Amino acid sequence: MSISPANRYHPFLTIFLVMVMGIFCHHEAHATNSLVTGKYISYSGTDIVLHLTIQNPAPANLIVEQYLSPENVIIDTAPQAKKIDSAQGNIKWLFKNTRNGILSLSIQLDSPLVDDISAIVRYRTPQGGAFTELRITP
Amino acid sequence: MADNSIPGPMSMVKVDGSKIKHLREGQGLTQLYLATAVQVTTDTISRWENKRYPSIKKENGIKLAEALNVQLEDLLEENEVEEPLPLPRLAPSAIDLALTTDNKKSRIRNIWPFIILSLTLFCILAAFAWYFLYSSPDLPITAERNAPDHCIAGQPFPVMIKITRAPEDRQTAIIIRENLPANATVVKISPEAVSGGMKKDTISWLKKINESATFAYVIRVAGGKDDKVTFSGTAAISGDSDSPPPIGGSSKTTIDKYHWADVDMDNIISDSEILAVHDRYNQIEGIDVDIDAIEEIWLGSGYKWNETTKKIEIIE
Repeated sequence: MSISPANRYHPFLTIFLVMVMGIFCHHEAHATNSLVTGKYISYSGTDIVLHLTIQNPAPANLIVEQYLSPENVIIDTAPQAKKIDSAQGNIKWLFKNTRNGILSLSIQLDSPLVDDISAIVRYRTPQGGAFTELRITP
Repeated sequence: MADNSIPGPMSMVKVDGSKIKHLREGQGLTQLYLATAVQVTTDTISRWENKRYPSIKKENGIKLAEALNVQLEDLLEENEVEEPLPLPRLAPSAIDLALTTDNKKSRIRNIWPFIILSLTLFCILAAFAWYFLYSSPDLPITAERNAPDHCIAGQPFPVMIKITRAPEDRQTAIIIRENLPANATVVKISPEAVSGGMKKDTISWLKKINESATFAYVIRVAGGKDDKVTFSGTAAISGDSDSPPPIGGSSKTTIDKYHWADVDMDNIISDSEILAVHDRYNQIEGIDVDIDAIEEIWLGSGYKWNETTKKIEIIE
């Protein structure tokens, strides 16, 4: 393939533009990367275990809201939840002064889990204080 | 007529593509005929006719003129300025040839300046991006007040002043003078005001800071609904200015029936609102904004200000 003088510069212009885009994509990714991720370790039987992985810089405070079917009877939670609304199947935790690492939350039911579960994690980003919500499903 | 020969190791001429096309079509000749006569490809003839490569070898020009039954001069482009070109690279017949190893090496050699140029521009742009995105403002000091938009008369609420300065190795003494609103009662101050700096209508702090520091106080104000509570104050580096700059940020709080932490005034402390309270005030030592009471409201379905009892009632 021959490259005319006029077209010969295009590949280098493309390389340059790709690198420029890289800078902004990196910044954007840095700004929007979730600081918290979550995964259900156990979501059947009577023990529900949710692991949250908190990145650095960690949000100062976290709210975790766990949704269950109201048919489930909650016996205990660890750590102790701030609020348990059995009628709605809703459990709420508030974690203060969180640090990066893994945060484990467990729920004990009196009988095997009925229906689906999900959770929402809410926090404000350490830089800028943007309110962020993260939905976690098994 | 100008001399259309291009000086160089290989004699080149500039031809007029439209003349070639006109003459060929006038004589009913095909591009294939001309290509065969000149011993080039039909693509080359096409390029010549479309003036994409008007400089051709003189030898080919002579053959072309013979095939078209004209003199070479009849094909030359008129009034063209000579342009010195590296002949072997731009000669059309050379472009038609497959790239040799030498050509490839030559092209790779030519690539390097552009890669270096691209990398240099990239580094410059990256440095600018880094500076604008991550660097702190190069100001001697900035002071911003954070006071709630509204409060309930007689109920305590916090006011926070955040001081930021350009990073330096040594600590700098900062003087802050905050004028308290009329009818205000100070409940708490953090850090402690300078000795004698706590007056009825003014709080004065003098503190050494590195990069940033937070000064806060909790007050109660008296007044009726919709009354405005006004804040003002100054912050400066000690001994630096005779007229210290004013503290920016919030300067007014309106007396209403909503809790100061209920930012959207919907009688509910939402998750985002309780997180904001914790994020802003939890770390300030000595300031008790009664977070436990706010958490109680958050855990309920809502709240209501009882004007008669002067208490917040939590709706379960």
